[in-house]
Amino acid sequence: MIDLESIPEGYGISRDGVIHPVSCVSVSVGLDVADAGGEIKESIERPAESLLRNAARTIMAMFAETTAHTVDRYSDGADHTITWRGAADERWGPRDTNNALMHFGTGTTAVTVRDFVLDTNVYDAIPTISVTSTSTNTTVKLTATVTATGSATITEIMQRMQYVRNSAGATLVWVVARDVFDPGLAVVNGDIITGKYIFSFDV
Amino acid sequence: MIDRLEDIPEGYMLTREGLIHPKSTFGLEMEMSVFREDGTQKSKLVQPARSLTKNFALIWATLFAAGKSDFTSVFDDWRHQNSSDYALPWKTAVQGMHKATANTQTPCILFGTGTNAVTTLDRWMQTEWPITAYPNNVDCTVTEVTDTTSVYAFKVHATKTNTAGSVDLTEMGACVSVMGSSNNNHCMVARDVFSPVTVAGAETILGSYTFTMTA
Repeated sequence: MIDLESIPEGYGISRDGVIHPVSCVSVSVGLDVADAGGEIKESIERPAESLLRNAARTIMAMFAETTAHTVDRYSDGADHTITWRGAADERWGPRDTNNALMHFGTGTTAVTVRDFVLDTNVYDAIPTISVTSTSTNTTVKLTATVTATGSATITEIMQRMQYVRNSAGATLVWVVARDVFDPGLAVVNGDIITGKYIFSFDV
Repeated sequence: MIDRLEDIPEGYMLTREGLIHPKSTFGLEMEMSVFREDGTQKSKLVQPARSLTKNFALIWATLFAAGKSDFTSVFDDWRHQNSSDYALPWKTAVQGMHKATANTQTPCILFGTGTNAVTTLDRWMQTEWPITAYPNNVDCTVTEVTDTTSVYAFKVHATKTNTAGSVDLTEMGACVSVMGSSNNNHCMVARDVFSPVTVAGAETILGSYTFTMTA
């Protein structure tokens, strides 16, 4: 029997008995598979398993006054440094020529916050971005769609960021979210795969 | 009615009110502590943060907008405290997250005495403390708290000593510094309202936001 009054105000208890804060930010991940005609065959949407250390360090860098912050580079995990202390390094952000891709894969390795790459990349696409807002919620939704070119079982999804650090154009690429689905969604040639990351900011 | 832990769905949690909420991978807590003049701790308030503002969401969205020619976000500037929108298309080299070496608009923590309920549309504090000319902000420091394979957490924090009389603080916020199309702007990305925290003269307050990512 759960003693609700033992749960602190503003917190909740998970099935493993751990107390967590009720967050003002919820992150959901979705994966849909439709046939070539657009009819949905299978669909998953659930709380995301992980925003990664890289996502945290991206936010850290926003608040950094003087210090540099390091993220793990996409693919090989080497260090990228986000800094703005030099005259030419005063700002960073996305640029026209770089794409923040969403990836789809077939790996099954459990998510950790230190992930920096998919197990097995199969497809990738540039997501569309939508923002909707009220006085109690702002929702940012990333949606990417690809067409399958063969049979596979999609079990992974991943979102990356890609920046230019300064006018000199040094490109930095890192992954901020990865999720694994068990079971995955089977696709065949011609199927339409749609991935979604939904960030909901609530009061 | 959920009576047993195993009845709570995977990825969710049960609140004190008996509601089921997603167990977010993105946690955010705020802290407001008061220290006496001799350095001993007088009080400590820790609670889940109420809000990251629309401004934060827009910056977050913009960070994914690399290569997008059709996405333009706007945000509201705390410093000027007006309702103008400042565009963040971030398509040129001069725009983006910003910290110029000779710029005073550094990321900061704000304290206040307002009590208006938080909304995601908040763009400045209701009543900043101390009530003096701009700026009232306190430059913040960023510190890593936890770094494991399942949890990563960091804290954005700032301290300020009360050089005036006793005050009851009820608001806290945080700003980042953003370069828009031509100007560097302070952008308020978080605001919280809480039960009064009394700070006497010569006492020091510590305000912080702790971001936690879990897998």
